[in-house]
Amino acid sequence: MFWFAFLRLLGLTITLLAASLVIFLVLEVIPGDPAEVMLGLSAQADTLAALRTELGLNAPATERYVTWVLGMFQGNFGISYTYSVPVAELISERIQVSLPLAIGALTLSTILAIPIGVYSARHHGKSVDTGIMSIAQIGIAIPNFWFAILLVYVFAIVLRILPSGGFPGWGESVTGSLQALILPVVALALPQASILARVMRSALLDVLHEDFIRTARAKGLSNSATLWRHGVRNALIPVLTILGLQFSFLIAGTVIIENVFYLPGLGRLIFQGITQRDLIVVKSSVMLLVALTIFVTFLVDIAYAAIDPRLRQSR
Amino acid sequence: MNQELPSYPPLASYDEISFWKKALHSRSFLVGASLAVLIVIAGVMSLFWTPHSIDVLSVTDRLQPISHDHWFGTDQYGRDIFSMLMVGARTSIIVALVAVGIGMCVGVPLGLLAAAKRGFLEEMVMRTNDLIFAFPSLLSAVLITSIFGPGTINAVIAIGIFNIPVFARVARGGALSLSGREFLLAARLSGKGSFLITLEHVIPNIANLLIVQATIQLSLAILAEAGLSYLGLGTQPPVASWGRMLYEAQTMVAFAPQLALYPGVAIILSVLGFNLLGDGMRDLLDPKMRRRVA
Repeated sequence: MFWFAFLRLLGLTITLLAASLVIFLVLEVIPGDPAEVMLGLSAQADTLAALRTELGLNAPATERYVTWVLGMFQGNFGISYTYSVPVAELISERIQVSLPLAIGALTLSTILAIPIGVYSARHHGKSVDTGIMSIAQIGIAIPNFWFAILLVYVFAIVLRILPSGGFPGWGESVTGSLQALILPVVALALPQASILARVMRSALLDVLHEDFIRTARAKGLSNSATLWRHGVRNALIPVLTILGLQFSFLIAGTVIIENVFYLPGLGRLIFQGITQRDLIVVKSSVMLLVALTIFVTFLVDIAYAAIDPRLRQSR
Repeated sequence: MNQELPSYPPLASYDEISFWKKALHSRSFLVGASLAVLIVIAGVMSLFWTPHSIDVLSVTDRLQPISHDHWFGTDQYGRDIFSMLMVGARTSIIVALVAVGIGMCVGVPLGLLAAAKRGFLEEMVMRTNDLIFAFPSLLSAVLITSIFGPGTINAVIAIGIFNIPVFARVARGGALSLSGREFLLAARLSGKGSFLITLEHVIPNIANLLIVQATIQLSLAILAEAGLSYLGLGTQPPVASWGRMLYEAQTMVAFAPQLALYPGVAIILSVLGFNLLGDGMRDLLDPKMRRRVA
């Protein structure tokens, strides 16, 4: 177990370094000089040059890469071109919107999907099962931003019980902020819940055919005790895989959903950063999201090995 | 001793007959195939004919209700919604097909190479795969399209890149599952090199796997295209795309909610279609792997 975790950790570090290199290189080829963008077209040549030096744009690429990576380790993400505040400050402010959004969606989809999947598997082959799975099939096909528009129409325009967008800020109003997050969380969670419910159902169906289920029934365990204690517990492994994968989808989903609801989150920060050529902001925020994804994958891998000893030898 | 061998029908046609026979009884295959065919027909037809031209903006015709002339009404610029949906179908199908094509053409050879050569090369291919997987796909698509400029071609490339590791993984997995099988050993004994073996024996045997995966990827690509054009990074006006239509409808949702309904339903039907088609084909082609890995 120790060696497994060590090797995984080594892999994690290499992946993180490679990812940072990719992000840096991609943003190097971006057309347009950031200093020029900041000062506008009418800028004097010497002001431009001064700003370039200030931003460190004159240094060779390798030096800038090393400075950036080392800076991140010290929590120094540089200073935003457009906002003129430390990027770390911007990110920590924006993540207060994105993190509750992503975690809320993940929680809601899990709470919905696991009971639904179990219920469906339990009534396998009956019309309830077919009905639930048909709904899930449609749920997977629904684009989250379309669902978001629909939710806004019903709850903000027709019923007028929830805000259609914007975010008051946690310091301003906690209830207002929570209300602002309800529709985005639901919009993000629905497609994920559909996928998860399907995975839960098929994983449970696979497990229910195993010999140990029959043994549990034969030794006198009740149907539901068998289902939960032996069935669901064993079926959770593939569900965990999908949960790990979904985190990556959720992160990507927040980029769109934050744009639909005008939420000042990380996704919107990145989106605006790109259009304003605020590369320092884009570079570090993308790196943060990628690092988060890599880290979650790592945690899922470790969790597997903890659950299932057979997996420790492979790879 | 001139005993005649019993003659068998050629294997391929035998498979084909049973495939179509079973297909007629598979609900997901039938529904999925009909939806997919419908979308493709609408898209192809839009090349030659649409009920109205979508290039002409007309203020007097704006927000018309459903009528004989405008089957689904008109939008806030007076464009015929049904015609726009047809052009949108074409955009979606083309982007999805080319993007999945890129993923297949690059990913499959890489996966097969990894499986055939093993060792260091395989390790490299698979680690690069993991690296691409580490980038949340839509986030990077946003990054790519906004750096190289919004547009259909860049959207195709951005979506295509994220299809590469999927196909590399499926191809490698499929090829590895065949290793050690008698017919591969026989081919090696007959003196074929690993390139010829891959071409003549491995690819035909994993083709089913790839076709099923491609169908599923098509539905994901349609969703991704819609997302990108919703953000304004995909296909640009005047060419219609479902995502862009939704974006334009959003500002009008309080006055004309129906504008948001049609493109959304179009996206759902086409994604649903390809998903069902993929599921159906998976059941038909390989009953052993009925589980869908999302």
